[in-house]
Order: sequence, then C-alpha cells, then structure tokens
Amino acid sequence: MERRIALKNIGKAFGFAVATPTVLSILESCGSVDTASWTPAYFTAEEGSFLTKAVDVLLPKTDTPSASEVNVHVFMDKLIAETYNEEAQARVRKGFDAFTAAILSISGASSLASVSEAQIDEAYQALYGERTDAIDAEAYGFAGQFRGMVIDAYKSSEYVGENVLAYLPVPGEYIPCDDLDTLTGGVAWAE
Amino acid sequence: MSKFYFNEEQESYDAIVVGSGISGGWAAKELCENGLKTLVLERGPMKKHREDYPTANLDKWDMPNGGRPTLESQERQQKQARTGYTTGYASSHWFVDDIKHPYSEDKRFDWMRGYHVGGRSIMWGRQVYRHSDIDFEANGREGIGVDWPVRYKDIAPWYSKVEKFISVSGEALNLPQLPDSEFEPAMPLNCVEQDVRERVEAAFEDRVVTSGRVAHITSDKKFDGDGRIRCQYRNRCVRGCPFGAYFSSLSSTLPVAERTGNLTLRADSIVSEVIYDADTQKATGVKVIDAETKEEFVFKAKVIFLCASAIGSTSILMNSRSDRFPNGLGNDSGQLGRNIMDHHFLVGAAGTFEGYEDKYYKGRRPNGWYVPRFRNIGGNTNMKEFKRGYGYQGGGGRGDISELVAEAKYGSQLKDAILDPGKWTANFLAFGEVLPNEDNRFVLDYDNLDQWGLPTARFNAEIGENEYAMRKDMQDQAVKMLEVAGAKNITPYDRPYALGLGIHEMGTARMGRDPKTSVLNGHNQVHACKNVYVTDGSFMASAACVNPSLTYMAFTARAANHAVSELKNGNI
Repeated sequence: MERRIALKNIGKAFGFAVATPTVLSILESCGSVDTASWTPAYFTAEEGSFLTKAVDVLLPKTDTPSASEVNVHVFMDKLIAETYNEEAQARVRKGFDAFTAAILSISGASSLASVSEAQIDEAYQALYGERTDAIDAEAYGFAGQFRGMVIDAYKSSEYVGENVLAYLPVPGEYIPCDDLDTLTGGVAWAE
Repeated sequence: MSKFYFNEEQESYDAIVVGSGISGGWAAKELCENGLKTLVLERGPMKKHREDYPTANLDKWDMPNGGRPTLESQERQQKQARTGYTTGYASSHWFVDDIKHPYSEDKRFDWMRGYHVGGRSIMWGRQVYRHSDIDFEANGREGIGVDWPVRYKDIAPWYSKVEKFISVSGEALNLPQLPDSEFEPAMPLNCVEQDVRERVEAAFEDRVVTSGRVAHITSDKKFDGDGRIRCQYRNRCVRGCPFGAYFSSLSSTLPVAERTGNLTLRADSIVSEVIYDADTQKATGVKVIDAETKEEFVFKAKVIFLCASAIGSTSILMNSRSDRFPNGLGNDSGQLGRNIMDHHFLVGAAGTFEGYEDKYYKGRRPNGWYVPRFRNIGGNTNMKEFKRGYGYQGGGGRGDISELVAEAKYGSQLKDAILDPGKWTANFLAFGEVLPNEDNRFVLDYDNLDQWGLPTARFNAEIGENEYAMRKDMQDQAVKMLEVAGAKNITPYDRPYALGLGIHEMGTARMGRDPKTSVLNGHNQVHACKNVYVTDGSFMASAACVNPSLTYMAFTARAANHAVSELKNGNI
C-alpha cells in the first residue's frame, strides 16, 4: 500500500489529478471475505462452498496465499454473474456441471458440500493428467478453462499484484535487458 | 451550461474547424497561431487533459471484474468490440455506442471511433512514419487511382514542423522508402529483439529491424502543450496519459491554440452540412445540430476545415446538397465516398525463444519493433505477385506460461509456474498497403436516419487480389525471419480481416490534379469550392503501408498555412 500512497503523493507534487478508484473490488483488502457469510451471485451456496475448496487445491497456501485467501472464488462467481451473457453462462453451466459430476464420480464423494480437498485432489490427478477415454470430454475441457480462470483471477488480485508479483505502476524508465534476479528477484512483473 | 469553451460565442469567425482529433487539433493550432478567430466544433462531449482520464491510474484490481467488458458494453458496443481490446472498463468510454451511432454493412466494415473532444488522438496507436516519394509516385507510375498532386519535397518541411512539436522517438536509418523523422531518442529493443535484429539483418540484405517510431517524449527536452513530460513506461496510453507523454490534441495542440486567445470550442455540435453560396462560389458556414438538445444553429466563417475523420467529413460533404452540387459538395467527379482504404493486417507469425531465461526488462514499453517495407522498392526487391508493400510491427517479450502451466498441472508447482516471467516470445505482425479502388465505397443511407435525423453510412468495400497475394508473402517472410532468428514453435497466422479494423480508414475525398477525377487539390481544397479544406484521412490518394496520422498532421499544417495566406491575399 505504501507505494500506492507514494504514487498518489507524486501525482499531487506534479499537479496531476490521480483518479480515485470509483469501484473498489471486493479484493481490495489483503484479508479474505468470510466464506461463511459469502453468498454467491451465480453459483448455488453448495457450489460456492465447493468452488472455495476447488480453487485452493489448484493454488494452495504456500509461502504465498492460497487462491481463496485472495478471494479467487468470489471474483470468479461475480465475474460470471456480472459479465457473462446468457449464452456464455449456459456454456459455463454445462462445463461446470460436467466438471463437478466427474469430480464426484472419480472421488466417490456424495455431494459437492461434503467433498473434501483430498478428494478433489484425487479427481484433479485424472482431470489434469493425460486425457483418457474414462474421463468425460466436457469435464476435461472445462478443467483446463477453469484452471485458466483461477490463474487469471489470482494474478488479478490486489494482494498478488502488489505483494507477490513485482509491482511497479509507474516504472518511469525502460531497461531493455538486465538480469532477472536483479530486476524482480525472479518473478513476473504485475501487469 | 454554455457549450462554448475558451471564448464567448461570436457573430462569425475567420475559420471553422469541424472535429477536434489529430487533424482538427492541428488545424486549430495553426489557424489560431496565425491570428484567425477559430471555432472548433466537436460532435462529442467536452473532455479535458488529465481531469477526464478516469481510468488512467487504475490497476486491474481497481476496476470491477478486473476490467472485463460489462454486459452493457457487450450489448451496446458490438461493433466497437471487434478490435478485441477497446471495450473493457479501461477504455470503453472512449468508443461510441453502436446503437446510438449506427451504420450498415453490405460488406463487413469495422468502423472504430470515439466522439469526444480530442477524438481518436487520445486512443491512437502513436506509430508515426513519413511517406516517401516511392509512395507519392506509385499511383502515377502504375496507373492506379490518381497521381498524388504532391511530392515528398513539398511535404517534408511540414513533417519536420509537426515532428518537432509532437516529439517522435525513433532511430535514423537513411532509407529511401522510409525517410527519417526529426528524432528524439529511440525506445531500445530488449534482449531477444536485439538478438533477432542482428540475425535478421545478417541474413537479409534488404531488411532492418528497428524500434517503432512513436509520438512519445523520451528525453527531458521541453515540448509545448499542457505540461508534457517524458514517457513513464506504463503502457496505459489508451486511457489518456496524465503525463502528456504521448501526443494528443488534448495535451498538445488544443492547449497551444487556446493560449493564443483566438480559439473558441463548442462541444456536442454535430455538423450536418456545409452551406454553399452559389453567387460567391464559396462556403459561408456550417449547419449544426446540438447533440443533446437537438437545436439547430448556423455558424459562419470565411474558411472551413473538415477534420471529422474520413467517413465523418465525407458524409458532411455528401449531405451538403445544393443546385450546384446535387450529389454533395465538391462531388463533380463522383469520387466522394469511393476508394476507401485501410491497412490490412492480422497476418504474420510468432515464435518462442530460448537462451534468455535469466534476462528480463523493466518498464512496460508502449511500443515494439518495426521492419520497414522491403518489397517493390526497386531492383531485385520488385515482385511479380503483387504491387506495393508492407511493414512489420510486433516485438518480443516474456509472458508465455502455457507450457509451464501444462507441466505443473496443479498445486504448489502450478503456483510457482504462474509467478514465473514465462517464455520469451516474439511476433512479426504485418501491415500492408491497400490499393485505391473506386468500387470500395460508402454511401449515405437516407432510409436509415440516426436520432438527429441524419443519414447513416452504408459500407460496401473489401480487399482484393493484390492484397490477398501480398498477405501470402507477409506470412511467409515473417516465418523466414523467425527461422533465421532461431525461434522455436513458429506459428504462422492469417486471420480474417475486414476493411476498417486497422482504424486507418481513408481516401474517400481524394486529392488529385484533375477535378474530373478527384475531390481535392494538392492543398486539400475542394476543387470547386476553395474555402473548404478537408485534411483528415479523406484526402489520401494512396495508403502507403505506414500508419497515417503523421501524414494527416503534416498536410493539415500545410493546408492551414495555405488558407491563411490565401485569405490574406483575398483568394478565398
């Protein structure tokens, strides 16, 4: 946050009008939304609870936050509810239903509400492994899209953008070629 | 609230400029600096430098849903969305509402535009290249379209004048097909781009890979305007630059025009027609409809500059019908609305590069590389398969994590993969010349009026054999250059392209030597109504293969100074 404040001050010093974000996303804070009180807008409550687990098995907590800790699940649900038209929502519905059915069938879990992270992990081994005839094509295809959406949401979050990736909203200069470690310590620049 | 800015309304003006974009801004600056009381009419709302760039400083997470296009935009900007990159939260407000501003397509035409003070000078690509005599002489030599009534020596000083004002970053190469500009320091090529440059230049005698020439400030030199300073490498240009680091009407020409005290600007002012007086054989003013109240006005002036973009200005001329000009003002030749050109693209090749995994860059450079035209410029560069030529844009960078992601699958390894800078990739994206063709045209459709009661544009234009033959070479040579550069996973592409998507629409009121075959003379005056100048893309007799805005600016500055002297001498 300090860099953002510094940036705004630099703006003032130059007499620039620095726009205040008109709509701060839910992802504004580094903390997580209380999942218990989160009501999904597109998914059902049961699907929402599954989604929270499903994104964390893809991107678990390590020395950096897990996907749900930066509200990837909330972001994805809102994105589908607010920016997907009917046709796109129908495609997601079809893919998501196949994906969840495959996870239940592979893991033997009885419901999305009760499926554990370990069971999702077991299903992911198949869904993110080599494609075989035993896996439903729709589910396999959606698994890839789902991973893309999760990655995108994770990298679009404020915490990851400002603290995990190399954040420099106003680079001020262009250095065309230098050592990766010197420039960012080995990570990508935040967009 | 008054819609007149900078000065009160007055009885009549010395000059009226229709449009406030890249051409209108230049006309306003030159006319005002020469002491002419000038009224600029803009059909869209007022916008001011810095304060009207609402998204300029937002990060992705500051925007709702990471900046993805809203459902409303998806509904109302279906044509504007054809670019694929302009209707997200960061920039959708700069592009028109297609339902409010309809047009029709006998053949697909991608008409991308924004209605507001500053026009597309806010969202433009900022690539600036001079035309050469190879371009100015091509029509005459090949018997295509009409000969340009202008040669390089006529326009070169005006290029220089414009460049010294806007700032052009680039590298001097001394090429006959791409004359050098007045350069500020070039933006450097990154590690992989530099390596590609050396290998391509070693393998091909006819090719150079240079940094794109862009209208950005890259030094501490002072440039006139509203507090413009050097580029900060944010690459958020399309949102409007609070640093004024790239040239726009809002940051540069309009503030300078305003400072003279001679500028009046009226926003929300849709010009419906130019008023022609048969007795004096001159235009006396323009008819205007207020975009919001729909009130109608007449504004009078001694000279009129149409700078409303090719389709906009040509539509105004077409709709200016009188006994003398039943088919539109200045349309004795029947060429008005014909010869629509653009630059055809979406063809080239991309590849990945190994060996620079420990290298990276700092800054989001708002630019890439440029490969100047190397076909049909004489000697053994001449091709049997097609006329004219093309250049490549694109460039290299890191960011392809697809392989890493596929390998990591999921879990903590995936996390490491997605934070990685990714593979180096590079891309040669070709932009080719479109030939003028009378059959490529738009007309005004009086059966489909917009909400102001004005006829709408109906397009019937497409690229032809020459362009398709050129596209094959555009793709092949991109592959060959990537091969010699040592790229892996080379992926050629040639995606369906429709005229307009280059956002370089031009040619619909071409200049020429003969009033029987052209609309404008070599000073951008309507042949048969000399106090009307048209200086946006309309005047282009051929497209060349380079981005056209610099040429619009140079011709506008030249025409404005011509008008000043003609007024003084009583010739118009």
